[in-house]
Amino acid sequence: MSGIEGIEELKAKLKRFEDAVALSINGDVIAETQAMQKETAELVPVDSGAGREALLDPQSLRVVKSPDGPGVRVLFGLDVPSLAKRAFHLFFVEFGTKGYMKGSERHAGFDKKGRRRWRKIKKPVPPRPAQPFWRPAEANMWRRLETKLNMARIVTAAKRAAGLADQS
Amino acid sequence: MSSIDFAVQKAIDALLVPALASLQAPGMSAPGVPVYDHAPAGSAYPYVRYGRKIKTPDNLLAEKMARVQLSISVFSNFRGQEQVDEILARIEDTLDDASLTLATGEAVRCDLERADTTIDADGVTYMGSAIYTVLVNP
Repeated sequence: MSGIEGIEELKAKLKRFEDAVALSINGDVIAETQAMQKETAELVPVDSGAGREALLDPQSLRVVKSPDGPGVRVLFGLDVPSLAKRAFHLFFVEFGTKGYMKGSERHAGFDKKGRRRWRKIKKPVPPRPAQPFWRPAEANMWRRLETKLNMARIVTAAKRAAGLADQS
Repeated sequence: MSSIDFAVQKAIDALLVPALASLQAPGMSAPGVPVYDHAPAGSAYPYVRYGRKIKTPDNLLAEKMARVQLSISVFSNFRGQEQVDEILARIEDTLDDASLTLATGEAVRCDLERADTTIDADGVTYMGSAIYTVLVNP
């Protein structure tokens, strides 16, 4: 039977290497997610300001221990029920809405049996274009984080090669 | 100096209009999906509309380089997501990694950032949304 000797040792070394990289960018992950939070708040169109306040609410960003390794998991979102209630309309801002002509019917919630209710439109409602604020901010965060992650990989690998892995 | 943001939109429009004019997506009786910057009230479905443009400086390689993120929306009343997906696919074929010729400045790259489909609150209208990032050098 053929096989490659030392493959388990190599895998363990790679795992230790990636753990070291993950630990070294923990702070960056938190900082970049906070930067994304700030960017979403800057980009989101504001009327009453309720959506922007929900995005900036401390409950929207939580840091927990990562279940996958030694790093952290940073959660940013409007999944907390009180925030979701305040900012449900941000979905329509992000993706846009259709327009309605006079006389057409518009969805107006659900009745007690769960059936859709409709109401007739008296004045035309123009379609609203998508005004994405979340996806551009998220894409920018990943771009910055990827750059930092690649840099951390290079620095960690260089330190190991030079026998300086334990030095910051 | 004229707006490079609008030059990006015009360059994208020059590629997108002919590409969508020949598209006959499922549910359409004839080819042709119109593209609007400002959709007139009562526009027939399906149609494509330009949305938000965001310019972010990206001056790692050159002083004035920037990324222009352009949102493109698809509106459809076809039952199900197939029509929206077909239109988004044609847009991707046309724009992802496309060479854009700008009236002002230069487009270095054009990449698809994200494409989504969603349904309006009416439960009838399907919407697609794609974001393209164009790296520009004025």
